[in-house]
Amino acid sequence: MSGHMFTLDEIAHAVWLSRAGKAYLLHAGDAAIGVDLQALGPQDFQLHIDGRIVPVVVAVEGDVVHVHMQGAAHSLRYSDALTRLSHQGQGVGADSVPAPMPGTVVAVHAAAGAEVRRGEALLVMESMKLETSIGAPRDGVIKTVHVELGRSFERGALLVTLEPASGGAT
Amino acid sequence: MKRIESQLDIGSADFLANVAHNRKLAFELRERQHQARQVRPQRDMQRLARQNKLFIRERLDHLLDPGTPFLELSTLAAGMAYEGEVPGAGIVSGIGIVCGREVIIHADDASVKGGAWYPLSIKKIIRTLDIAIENRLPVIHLCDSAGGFLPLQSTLFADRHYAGRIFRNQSILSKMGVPQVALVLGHCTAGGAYVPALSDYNVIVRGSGAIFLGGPPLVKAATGEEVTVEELGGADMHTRVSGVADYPAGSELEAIAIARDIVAQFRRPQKTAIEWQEPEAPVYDPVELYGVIPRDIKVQFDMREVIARMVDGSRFHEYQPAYGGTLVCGFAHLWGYKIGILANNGVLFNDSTLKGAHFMQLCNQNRTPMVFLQNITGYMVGREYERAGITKDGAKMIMAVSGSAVPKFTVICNGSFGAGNYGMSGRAFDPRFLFMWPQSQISVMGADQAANVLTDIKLRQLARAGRALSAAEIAAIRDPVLEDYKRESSAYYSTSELWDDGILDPTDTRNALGMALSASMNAPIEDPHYGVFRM
Repeated sequence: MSGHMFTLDEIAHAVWLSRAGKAYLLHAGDAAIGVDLQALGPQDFQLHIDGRIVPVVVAVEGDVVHVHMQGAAHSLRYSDALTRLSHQGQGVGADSVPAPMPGTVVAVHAAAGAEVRRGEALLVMESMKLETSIGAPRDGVIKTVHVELGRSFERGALLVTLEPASGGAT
Repeated sequence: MKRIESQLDIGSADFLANVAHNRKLAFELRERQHQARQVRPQRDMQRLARQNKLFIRERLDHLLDPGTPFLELSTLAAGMAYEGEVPGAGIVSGIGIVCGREVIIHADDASVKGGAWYPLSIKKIIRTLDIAIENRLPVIHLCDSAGGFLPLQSTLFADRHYAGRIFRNQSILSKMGVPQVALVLGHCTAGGAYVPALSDYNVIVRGSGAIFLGGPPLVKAATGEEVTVEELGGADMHTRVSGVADYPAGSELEAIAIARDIVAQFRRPQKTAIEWQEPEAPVYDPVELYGVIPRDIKVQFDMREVIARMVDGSRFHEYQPAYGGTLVCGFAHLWGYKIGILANNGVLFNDSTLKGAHFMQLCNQNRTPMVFLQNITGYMVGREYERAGITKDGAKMIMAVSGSAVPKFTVICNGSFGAGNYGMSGRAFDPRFLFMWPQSQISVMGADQAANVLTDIKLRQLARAGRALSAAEIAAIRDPVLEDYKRESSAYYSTSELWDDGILDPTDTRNALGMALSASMNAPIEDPHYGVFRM
């Protein structure tokens, strides 16, 4: 079970709530702790935790939850599983940039040997009355620019090649 | 639902130049709207005062619940017609709140040509009532019209969607059980007399309101009978004798108060239940839309940057993120309402077209209203694409959009050209509402392409006659074509002709769509069914 991921004081915690009667069980690691939260006001709550009752003040600010309890303030950051997992194991971007559709080159921003960042505009093509910017698939160094200004090309034609990525990571 | 991560550098020179450009366009829009709403020749305002009549904007202020939003539609209708002398086509139309009920308002503006109905006035009234029918919105008519503008009668009287359609639509609304209230604030003559008569409830102001098929001069000419306005069709005659009108009022303010009390008797509608959750503001400020839209309509931009500045929490569940990338599809919430978004990110290819048709069927299946964000130059052309059947794939998309049962909402964000306009729920495909952004262009093809085609035809005709033209002569043919074409493909022309429901400042789009969604939920969602998809 991956659970919900919160960062508290720079330490990540995976937690999960399950139903237990009228309240909840908080699962954290191997522990399962009885919890409940009762609203007293918009930000004031009574936290029932493991048989104890603790007054807490909670303020939500986007993905950050500020909690004030027992004389101390804590900030919890929620990290969405989709976002967190999409940044893991991301494949290396391709070395080559093929044309997405037939068109004509209207601007070239890239030159062999130049360093580029992922998404940085390499060239601008025109097709079907639209100017489309072609970006770098990953961070890297340009090996070859295969087209020049004014040149027409078919779909799939090689536009730019990057130097092979070293070490597999970008 | 994952939050969209903006890739834009909001401090870059390009972004800031876009901001300056688009702010200027938004300012110009607001200025034109102000003129159309508020600015009138002094003599017209003096005439209203003499007649003891309130200006239309004051009437609306008294009618609508204080502090509630009013979604005004087609403010700039007729803005480029009739030499600009009929602002708003002489009609105010919009969705507002009266006694806690969502209603749509049709109001004649007597400060414009005495409230005479021009052809575009009639188109605007009919559109207002079409919206009422499609969304089951109660109607409040503020009647104060001199009648049809006679010099143009041949283009406003007889055809299917000319004046008769107003009364047909009123009857259909009544048949559907959608209530209408009419306030008779001026003379309702001839056809105009039927607006209060066909309303379930009507209120007439003593002194200034009157209803008759023919006014005193016409009666005198026809039969020689001499009769006063009050005797012929005044408040007391109609509310005591004829039964044409229901409630007499001593003043406009009393009439409006009575109308509000009538609306307060309406049964509150059971709204269609669609997925809804607590609304959340977008994480990215909608004001940044000014920096997203490029200064040059030819320059491509990522529509996800627009979505991020429109939907709740900037969260977007993208469907098929790796397939058919030139059409972005996915789910989001807008003012809490679950919506399916289809947004152009380039030319429609076979794959993006199939993805669009498929996604529309998903939205219909799970009763999710659809929002189309258009920036489309068309479907891809060329041998490879024709061989792959781009036309039959486009036909599938059109079949899906036509057969859709869920409410559709279309925003033309930039370009709307060719069949792309159709597949993306253009006006002909009955979106519940269609709005444009100020810089948008809409036409069968781009202005340059059209001018070139037309010039080429002319040149070939002349070549057959053995004539060759100089560059200057070619320009003399091409330039006027180009100029006309550009004018007639502008957002201001579109809105003048009522091809849309109004031009929006991009930053208002979220709120306008929120109100449109809320209004659309007054009507039930039918089961979808489609024609034959060419496979």
